[in-house]
Amino acid sequence: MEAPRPAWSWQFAPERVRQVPAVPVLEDITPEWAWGGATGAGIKVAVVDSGIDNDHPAIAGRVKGYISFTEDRDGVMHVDEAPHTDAFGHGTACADIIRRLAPDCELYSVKVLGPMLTGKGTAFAAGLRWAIEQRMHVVNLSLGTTKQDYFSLFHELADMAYFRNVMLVTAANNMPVTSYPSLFAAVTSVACHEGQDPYEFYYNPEPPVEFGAPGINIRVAWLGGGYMTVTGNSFAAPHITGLVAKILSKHPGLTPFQVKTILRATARNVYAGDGGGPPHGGERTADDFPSASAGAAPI
Amino acid sequence: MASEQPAEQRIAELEEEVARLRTQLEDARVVSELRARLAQVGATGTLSVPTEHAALLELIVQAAMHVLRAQAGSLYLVDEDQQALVWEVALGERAAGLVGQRIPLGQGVAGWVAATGQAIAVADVQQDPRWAQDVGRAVGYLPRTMLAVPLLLGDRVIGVLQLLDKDGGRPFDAADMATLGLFANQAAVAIDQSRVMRSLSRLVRAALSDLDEDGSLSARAAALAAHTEESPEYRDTARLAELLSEIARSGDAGRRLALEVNAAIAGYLREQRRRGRSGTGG
Repeated sequence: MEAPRPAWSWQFAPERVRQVPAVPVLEDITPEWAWGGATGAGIKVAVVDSGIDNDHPAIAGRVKGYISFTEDRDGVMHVDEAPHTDAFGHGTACADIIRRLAPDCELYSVKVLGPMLTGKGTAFAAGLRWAIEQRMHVVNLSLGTTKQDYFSLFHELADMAYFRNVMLVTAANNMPVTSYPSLFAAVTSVACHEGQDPYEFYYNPEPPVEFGAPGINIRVAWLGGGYMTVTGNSFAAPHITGLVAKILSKHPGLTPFQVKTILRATARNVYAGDGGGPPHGGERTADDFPSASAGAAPI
Repeated sequence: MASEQPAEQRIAELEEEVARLRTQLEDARVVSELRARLAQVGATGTLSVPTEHAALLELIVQAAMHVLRAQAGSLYLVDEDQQALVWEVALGERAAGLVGQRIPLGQGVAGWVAATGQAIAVADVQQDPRWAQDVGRAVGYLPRTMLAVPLLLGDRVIGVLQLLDKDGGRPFDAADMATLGLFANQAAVAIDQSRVMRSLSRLVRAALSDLDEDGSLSARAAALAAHTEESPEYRDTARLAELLSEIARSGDAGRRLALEVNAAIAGYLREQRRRGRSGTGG
């Protein structure tokens, strides 16, 4: 019979401590090690948004599952697992960007944005909860809620995702407002920069926004098989989502904090001891990212 | 050694400089006018009239168009009952007659911004006419570039501010997005003040119409208003009304506290009056 232990400490009892794979020291982590040759195969990526147009050439039929959430005026939540279309084009754009980096990932379209504003926050939360409970590996959240009423609910969901090794990648709001869940520590929050190289991303040592990725004048898939050139943090987050899918497909089982560490180590402004980072297009050139350059899909 | 510039080239440069300065002055004039208008609204608060509100919103859109060099602009308000966006302002060559019209939520740029509270800039709108059908109808043509930001009042999206076609065909950039956000903040504050004022106005009108069967009360009220607007008592009362309005909008806790405090003050004053009457009579 096991001796009593303080709460939460049983997993650290000598006979219970589990061995987990080591990761290289931070200075040794390179893009090649992190995602070189990876395509996102076997990684489930949920896009919680306006739906994904599976018939768009950029998506190429990669949507493996659908679910939509809508709350009616009476507060009743309606859930539908039938294939759906994209209400705005935004979800298709995010999925397109993710596939440029991780073309073989499995996409799940979680539609929470429709024609009704009523119940939008609860539909969004229900969609996120579904993605976590389905054990998606990565969830792209290029949307958020500004409503203070949802603080606790989204905080709970962000922590739930973190503890279940579900990586939440969120877009910071484009306006200087409080937006959930992008401001929580358990998520990976992203804003945009001017670059166009999908592998060009930066680490921000002053959170809550931790990473910067391309999101200004990005050409993306949109409604009806078309494309548009758009600007917004919404389009930065899927770049990091795609990278995370690549990393997880090469290193299955990594936790969100390990993935964040790898992203930080491979960001273009992170250097080992030379005292400063480069501006956009700085010292780290394509030669420093051989696998990344080779794997970049044309835009 | 630097060579001397030909006179023609120098004159052309000076002309360009003069044109640039003239534009800056014009910007400054518009922004100054806007600032003065906002200050006026802030000072008068609940005393504004609806026409002032409409003119102010139009001025905000006009100023945003001017500063960001856009050819058209719209301001929509969310109608949550009808799940639609209502055109409050539509400016541009072919935007006449659109104010008051509705577009359903769930489509187009404005719908997306209202649904998400996220700003967005689009550089080649014509790639997808369906995305632009709301503004396409508004201005009678398909724009090329577009920028839309939410009107946020506290944590609620109450509308959308949208600009079309930046001069020279250039796309709106991230700095434009931040600038338009500042205009959106001003518009949201103006709308909020106006809504409070409209509610008070409706209340007063309803009360008067119940009492004023022959119209004489309205005439007396108008005369009284003309007289009292100049008095210190009126100004103090108006200030009190503004403070109460602010407290009423600040949340349940503040409202309850204000109710208790004011009930206590009113009770104290009633007691004072009662004692005063008793003293006089006894």
